[in-house]
Amino acid sequence: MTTPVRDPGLQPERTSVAWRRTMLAMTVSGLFIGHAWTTALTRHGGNIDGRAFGLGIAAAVAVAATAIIAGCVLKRSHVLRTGTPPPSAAPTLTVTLALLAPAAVTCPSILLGKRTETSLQGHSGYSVTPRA
Amino acid sequence: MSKLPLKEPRWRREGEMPDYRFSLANERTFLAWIRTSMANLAGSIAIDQLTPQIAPTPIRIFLCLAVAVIGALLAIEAYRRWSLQEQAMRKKRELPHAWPLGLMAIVVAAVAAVIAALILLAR
Repeated sequence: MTTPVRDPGLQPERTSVAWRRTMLAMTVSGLFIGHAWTTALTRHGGNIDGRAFGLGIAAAVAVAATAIIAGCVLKRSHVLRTGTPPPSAAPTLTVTLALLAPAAVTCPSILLGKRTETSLQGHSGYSVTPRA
Repeated sequence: MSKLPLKEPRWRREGEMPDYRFSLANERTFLAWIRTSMANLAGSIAIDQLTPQIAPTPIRIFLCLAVAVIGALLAIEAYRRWSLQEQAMRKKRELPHAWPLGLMAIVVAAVAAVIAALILLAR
């Protein structure tokens, strides 16, 4: 592309803001998973078993995914600050794969919770069990 | 991005590079679908965590899983669409039909209807 830049206007800025918004959405999703994990931990009296274990892994994967997406966002916004190059396939593919990982771990951890949760429902319902 | 191990797919070298405004718009569309996918994931956790009494456990778990799986499929579809749209632009063809739009409308409406019914029944 050797054509002269024809007033990029707000195009690069809109794109990097969209990347940051995506980063923000990932952070919120990660916090949600983290919150689910701490809730499960409290409910199980601090024991890492069943659901708390699955959600713990999901939370760790979500943190890793957030870090990877943050890297893509920083790199892409940096490039967009100086010009209007089209995206390469690497960041889009990385973000897709990074997002699939927490989704793949969260599904079984929700399933895993079924058994332990119904057994807990009997005596304590959904109230938080105080730690000993 | 050259340091990343992911290679550029072959179609990135075919046809003519589209105007940067179009490739940036395509990139933003990809990001919008990715955010939709993340919202699905968060929604799945929200149903699981915030509404424990909304439905019997099996129904609730089915709802959570359905929403989460749709989120995962949307993430894959986001990438596939981004690539198909750029290929179409490179070869100056018509853009592919946006079937996820209709599907998402139906799915969101269905989930909303199910949740509304569950809220009513749970009273």
